[in-house]
Amino acid sequence: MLNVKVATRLREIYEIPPGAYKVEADTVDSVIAKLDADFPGIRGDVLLQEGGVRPDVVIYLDGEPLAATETARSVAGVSTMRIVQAMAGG
Amino acid sequence: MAEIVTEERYVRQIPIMGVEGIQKLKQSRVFVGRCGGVGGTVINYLIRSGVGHLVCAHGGKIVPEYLNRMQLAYESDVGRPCVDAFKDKTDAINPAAKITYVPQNITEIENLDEILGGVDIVIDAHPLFEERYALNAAALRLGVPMVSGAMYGDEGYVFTIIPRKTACLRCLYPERPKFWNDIKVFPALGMGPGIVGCTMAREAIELLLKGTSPLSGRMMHFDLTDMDFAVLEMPKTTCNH
Repeated sequence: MLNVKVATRLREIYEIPPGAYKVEADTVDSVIAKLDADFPGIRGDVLLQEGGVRPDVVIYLDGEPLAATETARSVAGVSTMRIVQAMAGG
Repeated sequence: MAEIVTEERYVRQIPIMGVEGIQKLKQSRVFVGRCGGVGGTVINYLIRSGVGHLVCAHGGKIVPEYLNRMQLAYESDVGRPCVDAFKDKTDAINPAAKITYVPQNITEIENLDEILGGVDIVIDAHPLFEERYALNAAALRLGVPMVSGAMYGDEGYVFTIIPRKTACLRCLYPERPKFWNDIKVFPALGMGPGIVGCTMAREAIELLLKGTSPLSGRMMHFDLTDMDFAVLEMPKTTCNH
């Protein structure tokens, strides 16, 4: 079971509870698809319409950044996926 | 060789950095961009640790909504120029710290490279991406490490950029989130900025003493809603910005 940590602002918009969202999926794309099924619209805030990760978001798989174009990457063996949106609060 | 005199206020630091380290901090120069919830925390701990020279840029006046998180602002400061309020506090915290306050935000400063001349590191604590990207560009131009920290609500992160050795801010986030077009867009409670600022100050001290730091090319990310803390790798990329 993959633990998905979602950026605070996206949790606010899509009313996702804090903590880890747990999902079973094969690839990063399918994780996002399942997230979007439960929280409609979130895909557009994480991925570009034409594919790839949005330039204001970084996805981490067990602490390693995913290249923006690699959303077909397998999540087999991954424990935690983090969706970290750019922040500037100070 | 002249004996090094260490003031009593720094004696608890001797086991951590030695008297030579304390002397090194006294001679160090740091630029801090914005002195609010995050930047003010950085300044507080840098000068308490003995960093000798700072240039701190922050425009505008103190408004009530700053008071829930800005360590250098009190209720009696509302309506005063920010830099005047900050100076009163930093003078009281450590009068030996030589701080030049610039009453402008970084994107309003025309002679930025001149102001940054001679600094050892820069601190990015800005509430707008335009300001963060401006300091990022300056840091790359001048070859100066940048410690960057930001938050949104109970979430925050800190990372350190070493020009031409690690990814820069533009490598990490090429564009800002479209909604972030105002300084009031982010919710804030003091603890998040406090953690970000404390982490940045500790990073800064490591950079000043050793030239590298635990978060050089890495990001410390946290979310206080579930007390999740993690260190993440920044992209391994050739920075051409």
